[in-house]
Amino acid sequence: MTTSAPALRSFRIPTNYVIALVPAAVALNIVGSYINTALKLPTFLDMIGTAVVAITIGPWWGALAGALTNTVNGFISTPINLPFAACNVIGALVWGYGVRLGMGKTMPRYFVLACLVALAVTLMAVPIYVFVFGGATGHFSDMMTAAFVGMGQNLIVSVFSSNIIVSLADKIIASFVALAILEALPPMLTSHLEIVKAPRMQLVAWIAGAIVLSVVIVLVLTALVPH
Amino acid sequence: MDKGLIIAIIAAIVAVAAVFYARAVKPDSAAGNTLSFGQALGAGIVGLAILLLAMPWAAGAIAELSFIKSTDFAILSGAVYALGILALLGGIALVVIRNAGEG
Repeated sequence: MTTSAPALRSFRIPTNYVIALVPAAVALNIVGSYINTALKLPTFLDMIGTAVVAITIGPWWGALAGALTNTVNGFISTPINLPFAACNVIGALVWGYGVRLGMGKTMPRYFVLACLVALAVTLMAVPIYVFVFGGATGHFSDMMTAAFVGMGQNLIVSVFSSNIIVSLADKIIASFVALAILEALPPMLTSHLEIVKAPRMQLVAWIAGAIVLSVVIVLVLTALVPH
Repeated sequence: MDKGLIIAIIAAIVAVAAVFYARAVKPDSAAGNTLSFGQALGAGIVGLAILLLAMPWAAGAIAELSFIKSTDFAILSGAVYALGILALLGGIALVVIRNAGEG
């Protein structure tokens, strides 16, 4: 089936799938966010569910899942999460529309889509970091921001530089874990999409490769930043 | 036990149960039991509205954190601008699908 914009509008999702997937996505994001905080990882891991919903049932359902994730996290964890809901929403829109515009057809295209999501989320996050919080939120990337500021960069460039590193790793992981979850969902949910289909072991290899690449990106770039 | 851990465990159970439900349930494709792109857009905008309603409380709570340099007014106004851009995108998408004869 084609994945053009009219097809996106005319495809109707059974209500029971929406009822199942949106809360599942919010729950998955909360679990990911908790694991990230508990292990003090240099990522976010709060957009895996958003990616699954945005790709399968549509970008605006993904936006709803993203907004609800940060609202719930804002109440149970820290209110700092609330303004960053805008990042979760913009990520859902880029994932959802990106796949429907053919960015999910092959693995390289899907990888580029993950990088585009990272860029869009960072462009949304930088003004929030700088103008809402004054540059620091207590995340791992604050150390890199401080290092860049110490090197003489201005605050906006420093926040962008540190955030794009973390975001790139995070969105590559989220995209490929979402791909694994898509394989586990009923075919009816993915049959209307031109999304890459990989044999199980090949998919596992892609996901493992993406996670290793993300870790390497963070480690190398962190090592390059003088402390 | 940590409140966050309890919520994370509950969330994990909900996520796993929902995936099993989605795999087991028979999709009802009757017109009355399906949702369109326009309804998805409406739901997304409702999500943004929930966030905007929660922002005044969040701005006050964030301003009290020790490592935050910003004031509560700056936090609130910055967040409203960011979320306002997304509400604007939602409105534009709604206009576009109405013009396309959908929604």
